[in-house]
Amino acid sequence: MLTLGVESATDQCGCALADGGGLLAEVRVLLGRRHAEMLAPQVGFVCEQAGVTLSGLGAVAVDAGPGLYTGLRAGLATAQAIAMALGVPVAAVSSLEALAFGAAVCGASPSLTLSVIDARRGEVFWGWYSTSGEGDLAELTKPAVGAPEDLAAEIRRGEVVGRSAFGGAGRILVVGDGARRYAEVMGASARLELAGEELRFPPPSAVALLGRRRAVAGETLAPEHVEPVYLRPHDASRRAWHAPTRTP
Amino acid sequence: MCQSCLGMHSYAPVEGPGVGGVSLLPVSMAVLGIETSCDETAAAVVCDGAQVLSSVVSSQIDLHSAFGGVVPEIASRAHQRLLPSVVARALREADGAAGATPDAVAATAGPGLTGALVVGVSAGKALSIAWGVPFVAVNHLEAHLYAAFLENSGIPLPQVVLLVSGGHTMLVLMSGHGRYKLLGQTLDDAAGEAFDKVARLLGLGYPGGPAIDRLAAEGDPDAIAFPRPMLADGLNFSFSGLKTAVAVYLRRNPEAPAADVAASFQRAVTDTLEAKALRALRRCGTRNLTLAGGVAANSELRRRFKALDARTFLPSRAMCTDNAAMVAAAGWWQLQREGPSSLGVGPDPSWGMPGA
Ligand SMILES: [Zn+2]
Repeated sequence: MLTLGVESATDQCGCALADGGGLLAEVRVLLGRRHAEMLAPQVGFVCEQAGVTLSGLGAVAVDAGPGLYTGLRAGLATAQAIAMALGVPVAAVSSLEALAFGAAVCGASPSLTLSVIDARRGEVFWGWYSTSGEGDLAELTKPAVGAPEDLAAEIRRGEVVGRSAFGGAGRILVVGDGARRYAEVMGASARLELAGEELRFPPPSAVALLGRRRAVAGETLAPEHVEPVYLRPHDASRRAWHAPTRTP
Repeated sequence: MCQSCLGMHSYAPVEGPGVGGVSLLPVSMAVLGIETSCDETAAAVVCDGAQVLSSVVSSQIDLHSAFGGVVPEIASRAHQRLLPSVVARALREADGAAGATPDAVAATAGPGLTGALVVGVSAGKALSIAWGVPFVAVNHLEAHLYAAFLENSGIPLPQVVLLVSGGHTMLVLMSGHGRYKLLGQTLDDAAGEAFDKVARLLGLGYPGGPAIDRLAAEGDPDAIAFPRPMLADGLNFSFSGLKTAVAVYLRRNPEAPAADVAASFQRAVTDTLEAKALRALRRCGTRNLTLAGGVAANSELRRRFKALDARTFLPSRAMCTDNAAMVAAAGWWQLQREGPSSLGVGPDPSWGMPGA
């Protein structure tokens, strides 16, 4: 099943195509926040490079967050619209699991992966995953949001996962731009291993491959039912009165 | 999509309106319009910039009323949640069961709230690449000018357009399609903003326009002599002084009947808009005047402008407030003139009136 993966939940923006044979094409650009500008041309580009047309898609996968709001909205609106126009379903993938999946297929194969995404405003999104073998991924915790210090405390307690792998030996691979930004806060430990540049952002290929897997298993949604994962309530307090940018 | 659009894709040379060139375009073209610039999530299908096949508007007013104004993050989230169903409904209502796809997609790209625009522009571009049809990025202000053409394709040009809404108050000379000149605009608050603020002073809630409209019907418009700001000179507007005058009056006269305050305030706004519109007509040497924007739904304004010594065109209330049919119409005209927009286009929150 030919699957388009759309990834724009971080500063990075990209997309990828995957089918039964694996990854067909991938593009990822880190150029500031120009997701709404770049996504549609990127989709056209990967299709052209892979020699396929959108009409051949069986599903659209999208990184539904958590992540940066504007990028998330561009990605979701794009994925939902393509799926609706073609009459195909959407497979939602979490940004945190896409990061962990990226680590797994990199062959890093640690016992535990901690995905940490910079949430701005001094906060991070994070989630724990166990990875084994060829990209088999288990979500150990629901995506969380909080101060990097909260996460550091969770790591020190070593109990959140409630699994021996966490309490016992084994290394923990930490991935994502949040991990790199707050590496010092999380503290040095022999068990923590900070992943390299290639796992700073969720790979679009991971979104396409994970999404395809999900679509084949029938774990999909109608386009109008896909919800972004914000993890934070909207901040209305800053605009108690009329928005100055209100349009006609 | 409609009788004339369905299945008709025989490309033939047609006169490009406004430019006089000959361009290759479908004889008949159904455009899907998408509007998400502020607090209405809307989609519509319009044939040849004139025939509205469907127009769906999902208002978020209930979500914002508790905050007394549009909250950008709430608006963005709501657009995200609502747009797919709104588009699906517009397509369904336009098409019945045939499942035909539009010939082009037009989406508002600005001005407006960034997060809200991102949703509509991204969806519009994605639909266009999935269907393999052209995409047009539409200016929201220009779209308002085209609302009147949906109901009267014979509006003569040149004409003066008074665009009054919650975010804008401007007089525009439209000498041809795609040819606009900004004659004047508000230097501070928009007219609709003044309605919202005065409604708040009177405890009428949000949005203020319809509330003041209703209350004013029971009041005496001559009861209080509120100022007519900048009435004497030029074509620019200023409404913040009027709002302050109402606030001061209410402080000094807490027992004043709210209906009289509403009616007198509304009269002051209407007098100002009327005087400026007439001055613009005189300066431009035309008698053609069109009203556009949400404030153009105001009863007193409509009554007064109908009685003017001019050829006045008043779009229906549904076409005055934000909708996607006007976006589809403006998109169709733009496609004829300039062809499709680049797929690399993004939201432009502070996009002004094109060419003005
Ligand atoms: Zn508007």
